[in-house]
Formats: sequence, structure tokens, C-alpha cells
Amino acid sequence: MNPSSTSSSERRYRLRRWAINALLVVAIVGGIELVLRIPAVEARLPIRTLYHETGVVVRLDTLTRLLESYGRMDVLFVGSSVVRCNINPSVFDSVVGGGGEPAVVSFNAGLSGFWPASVRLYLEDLWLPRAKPSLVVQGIRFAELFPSKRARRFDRIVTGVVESAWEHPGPLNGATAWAFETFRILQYRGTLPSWLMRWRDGVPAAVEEDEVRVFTDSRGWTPRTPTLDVVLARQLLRNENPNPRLDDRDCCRDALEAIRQSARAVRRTGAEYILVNVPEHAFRWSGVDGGERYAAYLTLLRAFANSEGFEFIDVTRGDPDAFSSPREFSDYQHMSPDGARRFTALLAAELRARFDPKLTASSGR
Amino acid sequence: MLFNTPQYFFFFCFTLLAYYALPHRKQNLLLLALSYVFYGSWDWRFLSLLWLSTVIDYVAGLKIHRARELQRPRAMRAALLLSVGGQLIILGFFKYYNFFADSLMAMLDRFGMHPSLPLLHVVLPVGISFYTFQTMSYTIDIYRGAFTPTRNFVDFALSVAFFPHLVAGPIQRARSLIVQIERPRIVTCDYWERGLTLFAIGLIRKVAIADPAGALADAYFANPAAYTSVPLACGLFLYGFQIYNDFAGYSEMARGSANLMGFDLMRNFRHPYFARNISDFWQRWHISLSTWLRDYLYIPLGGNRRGPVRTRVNLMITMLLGGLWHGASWNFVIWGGLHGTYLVGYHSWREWRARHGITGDSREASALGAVASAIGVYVLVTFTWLFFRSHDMATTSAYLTGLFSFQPGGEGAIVPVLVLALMTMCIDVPQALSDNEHMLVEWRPAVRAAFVAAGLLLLLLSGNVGNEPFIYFQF
Repeated sequence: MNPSSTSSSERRYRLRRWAINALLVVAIVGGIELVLRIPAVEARLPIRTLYHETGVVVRLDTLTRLLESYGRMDVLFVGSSVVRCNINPSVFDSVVGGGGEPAVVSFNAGLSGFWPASVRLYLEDLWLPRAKPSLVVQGIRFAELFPSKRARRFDRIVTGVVESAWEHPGPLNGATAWAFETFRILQYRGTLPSWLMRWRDGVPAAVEEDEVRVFTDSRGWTPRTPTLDVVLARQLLRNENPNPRLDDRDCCRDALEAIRQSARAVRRTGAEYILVNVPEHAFRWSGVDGGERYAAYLTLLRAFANSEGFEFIDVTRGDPDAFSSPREFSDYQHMSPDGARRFTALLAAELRARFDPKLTASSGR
Repeated sequence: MLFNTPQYFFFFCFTLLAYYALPHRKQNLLLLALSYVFYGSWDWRFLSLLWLSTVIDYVAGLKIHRARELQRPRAMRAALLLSVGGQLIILGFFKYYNFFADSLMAMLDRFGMHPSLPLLHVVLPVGISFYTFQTMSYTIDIYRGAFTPTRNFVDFALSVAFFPHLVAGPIQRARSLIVQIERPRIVTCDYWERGLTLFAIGLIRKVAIADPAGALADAYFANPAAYTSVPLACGLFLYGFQIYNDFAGYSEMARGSANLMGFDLMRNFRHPYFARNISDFWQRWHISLSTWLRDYLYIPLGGNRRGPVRTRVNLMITMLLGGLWHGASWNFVIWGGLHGTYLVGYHSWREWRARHGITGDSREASALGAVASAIGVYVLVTFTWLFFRSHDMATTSAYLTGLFSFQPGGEGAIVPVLVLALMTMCIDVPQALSDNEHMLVEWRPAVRAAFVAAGLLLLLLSGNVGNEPFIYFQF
């Protein structure tokens, strides 16, 4: 240091004082860190904010509990909200296992608004390392093949502390992400302003986060209610249109590239990857050329899957009217619990027939 | 590069390491170069303006001094005019030209004339109001014979550009800073403890109190018509917390940074919301500006030496110009005018009491009166922030309408006000009671550690480190 008028004994005294102070601060912060890990305390606190959205934290916690209960994870469902609402892992497990103690353990990691690029990011850096599944099933619907304002959400996602380290790896980003993923005390970042903002109107406002308002079961499935007939009667759906003709395949390039990367990431871990068409309500394929439009969409995905060497499953077998009951949907793409049960059962039957030995083997791990 | 960003942390760590490794003269060169890097990180083009301002006052300072030695008062005045006029032209051109041109056109429009004056489309250079005032104090002090100019250009340039105080003060008197620049600094453990304490407290003020308060206040000011009286009143209190903690936090971080390099910058705030009267408030709020206005405007105008009427006129002029210093907008003029009115009222009341022989109350009545007076001043100052914060008269009018509509509802909006008030008081009360802004240093280790841990926790919970600029950067 520059010339100092402080004597060496004085400096030693000050250094000792600083060291004691630092130790005390570390002890207090460490104590708070431990308290934050007590489940009863955590339950009373807001959802942690280490990822771009709280839904990821909720899913991760659910997955952790599942892994603690079963010690393994066999099938992981990934995708957007159509996966989250339309695939019920409990139904899947019981159909594949035939009831009783599950022969397979599946988990639904679908998240609202996640287009293929976002699915790829979280799959590669979060779900695969944590869940270590033997089979990954990615669900997709027609609209997710095209860039949209929802797809642009990816830019916002990668501004998250942890997510930015995944997308832009580096020592500093990596260390920051590690710290945030490790220390609970860092995981409540920004909760004070959010809590204060809730009082803006004079009464504590309802939490806007979907994760707090909706029910998600222990397997990550989020049932969607009410049914489409009720929704239509209440005129809650507006500006809905049938899916257009798949004219320009170049538009799908980014989405297909993201799916390709997801499949490769899954295979690198030794797991199997399957792409699944998540059926939409028949309205989406209505019109004189509805069958042709649906066939073109399925042909594209099938050809893509063949070229990449993974399975593509379509439980509708090319029939655009396979899912047309308003009681099976909540809107034109999210299914009601009845619809989810039917679709999941069909999917489970397909997978059981194709991968039964693998599932049985994995259950014996 | 804001003080509350990781970029500043790395910049400052590098600065300190290099600074401690160098001898005194080279330290000054290093600080000058890094100060220009710091300023250039906003917009390198405005460096030329900073240099121009520096050169004008460096030359003017030497010329004034030379003329004084040769006993040539006219040359002294001419050099002073060059300095003050040059600085005011720079400030006026960039900060006030559009305001005056706009106002002139609006006025002529009322008389049926429709002139079309060209308007500037330039960004206000960061910190221009601060460094022009500081350099003006340099030449005025030399003109008054209070100070001998430095011949070392690097030392003078560093006094202007020294990065901790460059963009938002404190508006340091050149003479006090140049003396510190000219002498070798001794960075003792005391400086380290004081510097770190001040920086930490400033950071907590900014990130944990000012930014959340600002987010809430912004919501009320964005659409005042949507809220009832209580939330709108809360909005004013929240803005009061925001601007105080934002600016005091900035000043403390600036002074803390300077301390770590062995410099002492002047104190800018002395818990102003505990002021007992409006005059006391101005001795506690933005002290570097209020003392500047006192020394270089109010006293030269005659101060209180030319009778009661002239004293009041001088007060009003000082406060109106003080308001205008903050920005080229009628809202700031009204804000300054209101504070001027309060000061005039306070002085009149004091004189009335003196005329009627009312010198003091009993001890109890005096204590009660002091508390009531402090609360009254706080409420008055908080209400007046409305004019400071509103960007236009329409917002002010809508806010006032909602505030005085006395519509019921929204009482819960007081919760964030209480939380943020408590957080502010946790810093201000210990500082005020001990009359020591570095009170942490004196505390017992356990209490100090608890305070630091609580501050750390608040910073983590606030989370938006570096996202919000400081309010006074716009001035």
C-alpha cells in the first residue's frame, strides 16, 4: 500500500478486527443460508428467482422430490404448455406399468411459452443433467414450428443469470451461475421490490405468477379447466384461426434446428429421443383442405425425424378429427383432464409397444 | 459506468491497484487518465466539452492571478468574465437553450407572433452542471484572493475530472481538492475503514431503498388518475425516500471511493429529513450545492446585509436559480420558488418572534415544538417533491387533483412506505445519534457484523444492482 502512517501493531489490530468482523458476517450469512433450507421456512417464502421464470424452480423442486422418492427417472416429457397440460405422467406410468408400483417413472417438464429453442436450452443444461432420464419425449404442435413473438421470448430467457451462463459459457458466467444454483441466499434476488410492488394499489395484489395460481401435481402435470364448450359459451376465446397450409418450409428452419440439437444432446447422454405430435382440436385443421394441411405438417416432421434417425409418433394416425370433442379440450390446443388422459394413454400404448423392453430394463436399474 | 455496477467494481479495483503502486505525481496522471476513461464511458464526444471547460478556467485562473499581481483590476475582471461567461455559455447552450427558446416562442405566440427558433437535438452532457459550477468556484476564489491558482495543468485538470465526484458531485470547492491533489496522499487504515463503510452504506441506500421506492413512485406518477388519495400521498413519500437515498447514496459512494485513495470530499447530506426548520433543511440537503449558491450567489447579491426586503428577494432569486440548476423545466422553477417562499416565510416568522420578544419556550414545549416542526418540515418538503418529480404540468395537476380528492381506499399502500422508512431510519438514526456517518467503525464487532449482514441480505433481496441510473445524473 501507499505510504501509511499506521504502525505495524495498529495495523495488526485492525486486521484482526476486520477478520473477526468478516467471520461474524460469514457466520450470520451462513446461518441465514441454513435457515432458508428448512422446508417449513421455504414454504412461507416467495418462489426462488434464480431462473428466468419461477416455473422452472417449481418443476426442479418437484423433480428433486420425485428423484428422492424413486431414486430414478425413466421418461422425461419436454415442450411447451401443450406438453405441460396434455401429458399426464401418472396416467402414462400406470398404462405402461399396468398398475401397481410403477414400472416406469415419468416426469413432465413442459413449460408455458417454451418454443423449441427454449426447450433445447433447458433440456441440455438443466433437465438432462438433473433427471438423467433413459427416454426423452418432446411434444410439439404446428404453431411451434414457426418464429413468432413467443419465440422471441428466448432473447429474454437468456438474460437470466443462470440461463445466460448456459447460452454464453465462460468462467465468469459459469461461476456466477454456480453460485446462484448453489446458495439459497442468492436465489431470492429481487423478491423485496416484487413484494413491495404488490402493495401498490393499497391491498396486496394477487401473485401474477402462473406457478402460484395453478395446480401442478407431483409429476409436473398441470390440469387445464374449464372445458372448451364452457369456454366458448363464455366467449373467452377470440381471434382463433385454423392452422394455415405449410407452404414455406424454410420458416421452420430454426425450430427444426433446435429440435435437432435437443435430440443430439439427449443422445449424447445415452438416452433415447422421441418427437411427438401433440394433437390439437379438430378446429385447427378445419376447412376444405384440412386433411391435406395436417398431412403436410406430419409429413414434414416424419421426414425430419427419419433424416435425424429418431422416432416420430403421431397418435392420431393422420386423422385431423381424432381429437374433436369439446369436453377433451380447454381451448384449441390445451386439453382438459379428460383429453390429457386419453392422449397420454394413447401415447403410453405407443411407447409401450415400441420400447417395452427398454422401459422394463430401466425400471430394474 | 455507474457506481452500483460490476463494471465500476472492476474499474475501481484496477484503479486502486495501479494507484497504490505509483508515486504521487504519477498517481495524479493515472487518476486523470482513468477519470477521462470513466467519463468517456458515457459518451466520449463530451470529453471535448470537459477539456474546453478545463482549459478556459485553467487559463482564466492564471490570468486573474497575474493581473492581481500586476494590480490590474480591469484585466482581472476580464479574465473572470471569460471564465464565468464561458462556463455559463456552455451550460446555457447545452442545458437551457431549448427551454428558453421554447418559452420565448410560447410567450410570443400569445402576442400573436409566431417565430420559429431552431431547437437543439443534443443529449445533455453528463455532469455538466456539476463540473461547470466547480470550475467557476475556482476562478471566483482566485478573483477574491482566497486562493492561488495551480500552475500544474494535470493537477487542475484532475480537480475538475476526478471521477468520484465528476458526474454528480459533491460540488467540491476547487481550492480544497487541489490542495489534496498537490500533496502526497497517505492512505491509512482509517481511510480504508471510512471509505468501505461509506461505499457500503451508499450502495445499500441506492439498491435496497432508492430503487424499490422509485419503482413504486414511478407507478403513481405514470398514471395518477388511477389512484386514490392515500396511494398518491404514499407516492410522494416514496419519491422522497427515492431521491434522498439515491443522491445521498451516490454521494456516499463517491466519498467512499475517494477515501480509499486518500482523498476527502465534502459531506453532501446530513440526515435532512430530521431538519427542524426549512432553513435547517437547506443546511442538510445537497450541502455542496446549497453552500455554493450561498457563497457565490446569495452573498454576492447582498445576502441579509441590505435589509429585510432585499434579503427576501435574494433568497427567492437564489432558490429560483437553484431550482433552475436542476433542469430546464418550469417544474424545477416552481419547486425552487416554493422552497424560496418557505424560506422567506420562515425568516419572516423568526423576525416576527424576535420583534415580539418571543425567544424560547419551556424545555418540554421546546422539545415538542421541535418534533412537530420537524414533522411539518418533512411533510412540506415531501409535498414539494411533487413539482420536482412531475415531468409536466399536466401530471402535476392530475396528481394534485387525485391527492386532494380525499377519496377513500388504498390505505394498504402505506406498507411499502413504512418498510422503506424503517430501512432509511436504520441508517439515518444511528448516524444522527452518534453524529458520525462512519458509525459502523465504532460499533462492537457483533453489532457491526449484524448490520453488514443485514445490508448484504437487503442487497441480495433487492437484486436489481446496476439497473437504475442515479437521478442526479440527469442534472
